[in-house]
Amino acid sequence: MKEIVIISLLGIAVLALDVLKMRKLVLPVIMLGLLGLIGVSIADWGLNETPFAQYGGMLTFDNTALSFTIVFASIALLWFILAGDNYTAGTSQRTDIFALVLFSLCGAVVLSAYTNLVMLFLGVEILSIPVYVLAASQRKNVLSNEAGFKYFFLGSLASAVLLFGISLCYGAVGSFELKAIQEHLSGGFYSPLILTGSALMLIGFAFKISVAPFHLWAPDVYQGAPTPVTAYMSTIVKGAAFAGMFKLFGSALQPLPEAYSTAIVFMIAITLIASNITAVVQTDTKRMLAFSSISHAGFMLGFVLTASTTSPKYLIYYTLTYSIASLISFFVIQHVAAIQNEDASTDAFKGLIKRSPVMAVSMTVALLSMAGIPPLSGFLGKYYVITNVIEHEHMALVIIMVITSAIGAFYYLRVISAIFTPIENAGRIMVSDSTRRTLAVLSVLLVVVFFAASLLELL
Amino acid sequence: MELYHNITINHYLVLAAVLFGMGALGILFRRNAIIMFMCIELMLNAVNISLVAFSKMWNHTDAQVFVFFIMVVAAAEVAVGLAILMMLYRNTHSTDTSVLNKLKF
Repeated sequence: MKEIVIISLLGIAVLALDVLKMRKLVLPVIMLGLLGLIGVSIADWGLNETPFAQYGGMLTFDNTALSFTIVFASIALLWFILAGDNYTAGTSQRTDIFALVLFSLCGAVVLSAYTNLVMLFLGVEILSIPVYVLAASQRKNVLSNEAGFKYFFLGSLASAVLLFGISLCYGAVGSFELKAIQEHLSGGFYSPLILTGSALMLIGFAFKISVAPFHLWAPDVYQGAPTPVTAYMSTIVKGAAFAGMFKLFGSALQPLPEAYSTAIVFMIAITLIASNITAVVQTDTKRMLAFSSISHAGFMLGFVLTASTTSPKYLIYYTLTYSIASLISFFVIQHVAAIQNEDASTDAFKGLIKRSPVMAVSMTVALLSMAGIPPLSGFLGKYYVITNVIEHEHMALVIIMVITSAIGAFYYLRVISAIFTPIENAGRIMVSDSTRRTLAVLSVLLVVVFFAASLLELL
Repeated sequence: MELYHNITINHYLVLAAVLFGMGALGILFRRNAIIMFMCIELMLNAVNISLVAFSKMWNHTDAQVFVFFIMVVAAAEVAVGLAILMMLYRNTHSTDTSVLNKLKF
């Protein structure tokens, strides 16, 4: 509970600093607060034997929840460092946006710690509602308005579907507790109520994590939203939705009839095929990365498919590595597009190696990591998914995963080849030192995390 | 009184499902943003009906408390949604969603 109190107070403190006209302090206060949050989560670590049960057992901060919290807080910290440059310091728009991101982070923490379906719903809403505002935060830009509008309606639809699923599960079980649902299901009797409820919850989550056939909103929203917000959506929002889904399908809705895993297998297969093929024909890099993000959601859904036997640490690893690569790529796009009249097409990247070597190299590393090329950590993430799926003997799915990864490498390499295409009269792209250093550190991290992966086995 | 005894949980569930379905279809097929808003409210309130019915069925108050949570969340959601709609109306002078066609490949 300390974690949630800290983030909420931090968000309120940011708004208070805005009112008190101490806007210069906002970024340092956020940094300190998030470091404090990481510290508190580490201090709570290892209380696994008697996990903290809060609010009458509605939230439980066990080691999994704490590690998700640490990962989300670290990604948020990096986001704030990188986004700090993109909003003019000292404006109230900047503090508003930062406060909204903190409130949304609070939802992400709730989603990784809930043990009660009421908290699941509240977590999803606390996570999403600030992001609707963030997606529409460029008030004069019709594209941003459209993105916010679409995100709002599809997000609300998804929440309502999830909610109806929760209601039906309650009707079948008589309790919102995950444990009670699990006990009910382990009896081996499936009432129509709980079957419909689980199906509706699966559909609701499929909307939230944007897997096919419920992914059509994602490319529009990712492209139209301001790029720092897109970076936030594709890292923390997606990671938190997966944390929630993994917990629901791994520890509560177990065991479900065979048809459900078949449905998930089909969803993964359609997601991977549709997103990778559509990504190939995109010219806008932001939209292309949106499809790439959908394809990564397809991979991460592999962990949900095998949730009964998979340790959540592999999902955490995948979330971490994908988030690092995603942060790098979206912020590089932001800086490249900002000086060329918001043009984020592949051509805008031509000659980037001359114009800003640090951005060019880190973008290359990030894209190669997303493509899953060793020795970058994205490779290991995909490796973990595939080994888990093989254990569950979904061989056709493994073949689709490998083939679509190869298709994926094609469109990533197209951007990389643009980066290394020489052009004349290349003006340098100026970015602040802190951004440059952070991008460099992040791309080194992608390699370090690859070699540090053996630490996962110790957990 | 005889009439009330004949109403079972299934009646409430069918009502909730029908309202929910109407809301979902409305969001997917209507093109007026205000109507779409009403459809979202319809869906959430359909869930409220089912929760209250289940609450009575199990003799718990859990679900009724949850209904209050849903009402609060729905209010927050609508506040944000209406703000986005206002902003959109200022820029496009329309609440028709067919003007939202700038984002495609």
